[in-house]
Parts: sequence; structure tokens; C-alpha cells
Amino acid sequence: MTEVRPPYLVLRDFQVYFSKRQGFIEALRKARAANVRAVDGIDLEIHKGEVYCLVGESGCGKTTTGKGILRLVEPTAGDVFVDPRPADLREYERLRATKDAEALETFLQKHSLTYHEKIVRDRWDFVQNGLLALLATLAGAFAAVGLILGLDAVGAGDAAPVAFLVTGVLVGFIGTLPIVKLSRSLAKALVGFGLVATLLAHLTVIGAQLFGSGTLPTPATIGGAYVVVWQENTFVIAFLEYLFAFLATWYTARIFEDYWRHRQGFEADRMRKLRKTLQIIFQDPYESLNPRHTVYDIVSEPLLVNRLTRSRTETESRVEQALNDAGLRPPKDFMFRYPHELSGGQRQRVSIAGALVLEPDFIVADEPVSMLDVSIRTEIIELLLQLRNQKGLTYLFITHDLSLAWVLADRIGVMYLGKIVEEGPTRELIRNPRHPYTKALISVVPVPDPDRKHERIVLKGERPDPSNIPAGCRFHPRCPVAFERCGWTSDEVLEELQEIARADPDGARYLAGAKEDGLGAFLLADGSDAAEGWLRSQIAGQAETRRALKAIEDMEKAAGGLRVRLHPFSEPTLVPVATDVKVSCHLFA
Amino acid sequence: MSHGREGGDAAALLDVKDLQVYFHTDEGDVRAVDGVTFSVGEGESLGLAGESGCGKTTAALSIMRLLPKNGRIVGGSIDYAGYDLAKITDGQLRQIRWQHISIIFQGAMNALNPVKRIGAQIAEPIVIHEGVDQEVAMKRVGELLELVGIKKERANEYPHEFSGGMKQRVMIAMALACNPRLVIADEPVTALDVMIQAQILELLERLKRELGLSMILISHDLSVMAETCDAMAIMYAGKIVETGTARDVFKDSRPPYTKDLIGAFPDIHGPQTLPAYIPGLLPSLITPPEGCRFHPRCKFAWSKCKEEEPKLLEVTPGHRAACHLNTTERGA
Repeated sequence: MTEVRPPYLVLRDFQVYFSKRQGFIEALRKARAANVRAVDGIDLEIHKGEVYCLVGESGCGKTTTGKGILRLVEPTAGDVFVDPRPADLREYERLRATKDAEALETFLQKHSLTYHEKIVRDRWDFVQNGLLALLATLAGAFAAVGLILGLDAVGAGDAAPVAFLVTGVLVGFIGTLPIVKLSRSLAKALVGFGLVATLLAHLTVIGAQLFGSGTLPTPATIGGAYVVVWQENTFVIAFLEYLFAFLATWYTARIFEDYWRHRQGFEADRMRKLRKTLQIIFQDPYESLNPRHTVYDIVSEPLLVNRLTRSRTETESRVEQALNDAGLRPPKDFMFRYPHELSGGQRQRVSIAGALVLEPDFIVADEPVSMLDVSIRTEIIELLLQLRNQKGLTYLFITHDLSLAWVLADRIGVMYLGKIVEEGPTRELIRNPRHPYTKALISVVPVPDPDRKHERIVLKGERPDPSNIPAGCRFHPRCPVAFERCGWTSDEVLEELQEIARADPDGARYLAGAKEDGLGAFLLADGSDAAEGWLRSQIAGQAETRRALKAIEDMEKAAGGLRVRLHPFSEPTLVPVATDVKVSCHLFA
Repeated sequence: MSHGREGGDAAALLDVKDLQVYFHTDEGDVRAVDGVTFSVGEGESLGLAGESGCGKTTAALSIMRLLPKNGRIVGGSIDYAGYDLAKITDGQLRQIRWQHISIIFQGAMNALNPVKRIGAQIAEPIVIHEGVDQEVAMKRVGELLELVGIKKERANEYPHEFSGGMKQRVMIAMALACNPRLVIADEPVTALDVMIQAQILELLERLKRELGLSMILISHDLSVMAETCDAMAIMYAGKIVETGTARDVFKDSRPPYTKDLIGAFPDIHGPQTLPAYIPGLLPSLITPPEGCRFHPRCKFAWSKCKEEEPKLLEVTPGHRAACHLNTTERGA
């Protein structure tokens, strides 16, 4: 369990933010839209053949991490490497250290799963839009020229062609630009229609001139001839000509579009290849299986989508193999059943078969047994572990159940509000937890033994809002052992004092008119010795239970009252504290 | 009925005897609860446990006669304070509901009306069952919310403004609205996080202590029950296989099914090995197996288990088990 295995999946500073929907008034009040920082910069290494468990309360970002790795939700920042060569990883660390942006960019483009060709794509977007606008302009111009030439030829016969051309370009440009802005596809259709139709019409005219008179045509003669040709052609022929031209252009536009998309989707292409090796098993087999598809449909779909089989018999044999591997034996009995004909455990096996059929190397198992009855959970877990041994699979196992992680994980990472707060080998982490949050989580795991009444550390409140993450250590407002520099801000300390003052009329009087003075200090309007004395006695008496009071560093009389200064704070980082154990807590810094 | 509180048996508040509940389906009658006997004492909490589909929720719902249309109580009695809840009229039952026995439904997320303020939702049973006016009811709502640890100002909010744990607290406040003596909690913590689960269990324990409530806790999660229940009843396929105090059932379990069920839980303080599991599936309740219903999945089944249904017999005082292994060991 502890031998050094090469990392299979490496995450560096991995972030997934969701932008928060804002109301109109909110948007006016705040300059920038708030983000929900679901995953807020985590480093993770999962070794080959390992079962890595991410645990934490719901909303801590564990599922988002899993989905972000597979790009089922788009990561905001950070790098993901799948099965990297150790040399590449060293190169990556070196490039990060040297801050060689260009070399790093090239490296990431080649190796990182989350690499976005952002700049390139923006440039391409620009070029595409420009080209499209140009073509639309030209098409409009041609059409306009033709129209004006024609109208004019009907009237006078020989007006100056240059003036027509200029008017045409202007009309065409002004007329088509808004369309390009409004709708790409409408613009494309217009471009096609206008450009090719007019070109064909003109070519016909020019051809008629060339072969008719044998001399090179001047614009004026073309104009005249154009009308003649138009008048001589029947309506049907003109219509067919236009239709043909339209279809030809439309098809060309499609080819161009595909080419552009291909250029853009360079990384998407690679991602699709990787999806065969990275798979996910979802939590609820009652919801993740389409009730109108048979087991065969469900399990064969990945094969068909990825075009991995050449014939129906091959598909069938691979589906059969996957069902067999997932423990649905004999496979023939299950293939043509619908999900409602299966028990919960069997359904989850179908999900597993659907992931196995592509012969992946890595599986994100997102609470795969939490919806199942306890009596069959072990069966499914056993199956997953068996598959690891047979096929060398690597798992990222996401669960809120620490007792499950205990029996199945090689290593555990504890997440809180988008950050990993503690990570280590299972036995060490469970038997010797270091972070106060880990300790609390372990203490509340129910034990099937009425005699073992252990002390539970029940944390107050629920996890805070990931769009409004506390300063300093993000766990400090709920932490039973938080101290001076954990991140108490003036509003938190004031709130705690107000709480005391609710049952203390003296305190209420001293606190009246108190206001924050930045994050690190606040002002009491009452600067008397009595007020100071009260505050000091509260700190002396209550700081152990009301931890926010610990943050008060000193107080001094100032203009307009008593100025109370708080200890400076910082956010803890994940640092190694023992072999393979990392903790993010000021207690261990 | 309003004076029903004073009467009744002091030892057992609720006495369920040989309860049978069948569901009518096209394939035949599903015998979801088939001869179940248990009782809940004053101030006692009873845990009703078993795999999903074993009939535990049906048994609890039939106490309040809240069965779906195709379900009916076929036999047995449910004694509460001298009344048989299985037989009294709907009008009488309405007097019992909420004021005497209330229920915390499974899935707090979905049990609240999303378009009504939670204060109004909690006040509704108070207005209906106690006949007081809205103002009195709202005052009581404030007290109830404080009791379950929610600021009373939040009575004006809608369910979507509450988190899962808070919604569960609202459900508990609602169940306590008319000062019931018995609360039935159907999987009260199943969908919640471990930490919230601990908070809710702590709350339930405190309420039980402070208000002297009796409780029936229904769950498939035995580890939760080990921490909160005084007495246990383990159900399998519509039958009770073992009852007794929590200690009896957990530490001295007799039928293999109870042992297997307890053994299926990973124990964070125990060895780092995968727990055992119970092979096979729950039998069909339309045509349950002959003899002991667990025998097809039982490691220790022998000929007698296939032929004769075991009776729920006392093994030690107050501890009953339905298993042939047990009785023959003692008899022979």
C-alpha cells in the first residue's frame, strides 16, 4: 500500500468556479459578479492502482472535483495530467518554478487535460467573424451592383459603373453587418445565397459576352448584357440556378465550419480519446439509467458513440464481457431487461458495466453505494476492488461516509469548502487525525454498538456559503479550537460580542454604536474605563467557548472611543507534517 | 377522545399486536406486514430496522392509517390509550393524529410545500387540530422553531431558503406542533450529511428528554439506532425477527439475520476490512418462502427452517427472537 507507485492522475491548483446568478439591483451594487468557489485550488496525486477517497460534507466540492477532472463541468483553472511520465512532471515543476510562461504554455498544451486554447480561440473567433463579415459584404455588394446595374440598364443604358460599385459595397456592408452580429448561421446562409448566386449570374453574363462577341467585356457592356440574359432566361432556370448556388455555398460553409471547429477542438479531440480511459459511476442507479433503454442499449452505447466496434457481434461480445465483469451472470439473462426489472444492486452493476465496457484505467466513483441498502453495499464495493486487482484500475472514490472510506481507501483526502484540509494514508488519517475538522467528522460517524458511547464533536451550524468563504482559515467559524490567527475579522468578533450583550444590559450599552474599522479592528463608541474593563473581563471569562474573542490583540483609547485591534491572520496551506500526511491548519504550521 | 391522554396503559403507550397489512396488486396480495407485534413504552424510543422493502415504513404508516389506496389492514390490533387504531372511525382517528401521534416523513426535502411559507405550514395542523386562531398558532410556531434551533424570524421564509438539515428541523417542529406523545420518524437522517445527521440526532434526543416523547425511529441504518434507541425491532420480509433492548439486539443478537445486518456495517473503530454482506435478494412478498422467510439466504438454515415458521419467542426477559436455531439450541 505504501510502495511508491507512479502517479496516474495529477491535479495542480485545480479550481472550479460557478458564476452566481445576480439580480439587477445586486449587479448594480456590486462591481463584479460573485463566484461560487466550489473547488478552490487543490493539489492531488492519485497513484496507479490506488483507491483515493475524497470525503467531506455535501457541498464541499468533492463531486465537483470528480466531474471537473472528467470535464463534465468545466474547470476554471489548474492543470490535470493523466498518466504523466515522471520526466514530464519534473519538467512541469521546473517550468512552474522558472515562471517561463511561454514554455509552460507549450508544455500545458501538450500535456494538460484542462488546457484551453483560449487566446488562440479568441483570435480565431476574430478572424472568423472578420472573414464572415467580409464575405457577407461582398455578397451584398455583388447583389446590389447587379440590382442597380440592372435597374439602370433598363432605364438609361450607360451610367458610370464605378459609382454603382461604390454604392453597392456601401449598401452591402451596412446591410449585412448587423446580420453577422445577430446570427452566424443566418449570415452564412445569406453569404452563400448572395455570393454564389450573383457570381454565377455574372459568370453567365460574362460567358455570353465572351463567346458571343469574342471581345473582352467592359463593365458597361456586362451591365447591359446582364439584363439581357436575365430577361432571356426563364424564371424556372433562374430559380434552379439560384437554388443550386445556395446549396453549394451552404455545403461549403459547413465544410469551413467543421474545419474551424476542428481547429478549435484540438483539445476536445484529445479529450474524447481520454474519455475512454476515464469513466464515472454515478450515485443513484435509479436515476442514472434511462428507463426506456435495455441493459444492452445502456452498456453498448459508449461503444457505439466512440465507434469502437465494427460489427454487432463484436459489440455484443464486449457488452457480454462487461456485464460478466460487473457480476451480472449469466450476461444473456440481463442483456435485454429494462432497469425497472432489476434490483438496486443490479442496477448499479449495470452502471459499472457501462463504465467498464470501454476498458478504462481510471474511474471516478461518486457515492456509488450510498443509495443502496446496507446489506448489499459490500457486494458492490467488493466488485470494485476486485476489478482493481484484475484490471489495474485506479479509483477516485467520493463519499461522505468515513466508515466506508476506512475499509476501502488506500489514502483519504478530507475536503472542506473547496480545499483539501488533510490528506494521508487511511490508517494514519483515521486513527490519528490532526485537523480539527477531520477529528469532528470521525467523531460523528455512527457506530453499530450501543455500548460504545463515544464523545461526539458536533460542529455548530452548517457549512458556510462557498460564494462567501470566510477569511483566513475557512474552517475557523466552526472550529472548536480556533485561536488568534485563524482568520477572525472585526465583523465576526463584533457579532460574538453582540451575542453576549443580548443577555447583558451593560454590554449592550458599551457596544451601542460600535463599528468596524477595517477587517482587523473595530471601534467602541464608549471609550470609558468601564467599557474597557467589561471587554477585558469577557475575554478572560469567555474566550474558551466564544473563540472569536481570542482574536482581540489589544485595545487603546482613541479619538471617538476605544479602538480594539485584532491579531493578524493568514490562510493556512497544506503542508507535510508526517510521512505522507499533509495538513492545512495553523496548529501545525 | 380529547381526554384519551389520561387513560391507557402506563407501561406501553402503543401496543401493536399481530398486525397484518396487505397491498392489493394485479399479481396478488403483497403481504408487506404479516403478523407484526411490538410495543412502545412511555418515553421510550423504539428503532424499527430492516432492509428496504421489509415492511417497516408500512408498519409505521398503518399506525396512523396513512396507507396508500391499495393497502389495507387485514388483521391485528393497534392499541393506543385503550383505543384500537385499526378499527376506530376516521373521525376518532383524526383526534389522535397530530395531537397524540405525529409523523416526521421521509425525505424532508420533498415533504414541505415549496410555495407556502414554513410558518404557515407548521401553523396549519395547529389551527386544524386545536381549533385556535391564526395568531395563537403563529405564536406557537415561533416557540416551536426556537425549540428545534431555528430563529423564529425565519417563519416567513420559503422551504427553498432552508438547507437540508434546516428543512428536517422544520419537519420536526411540524411534528411537535400539537404536543404529541408519540412521534414516528421515518428515516429522519437518511439523506443528510454525517455532521447534520449528528445535529438532528442530538436534537431528537434532547426533545425526547425534555418533552418526554415516545418515539418510533424507522431506518435501515442500524448504526444510527445503536446510538439513539432504547429498544429495537428488526424486521425481515414483513415479519419481526427480533425485538428487545438495544443492548440485547446489538450485543446478544440471536437470529443470523440480525447478526448479518449488524455485520454489514463498516466500523470505523473496528478492523480495516470490508464488512460481510447478505447474499441474495429480499423474497417476493406475494409468495413468501415457506418456513422461515430468511432461510434461502441464511448460512445456518437446516431442514426445519424450510418447513416450519419460527415463532417470536422470549430468549431472555424482554428479548424475543424468531429463529429455529435459537429455540432448538435451548430445547435440545
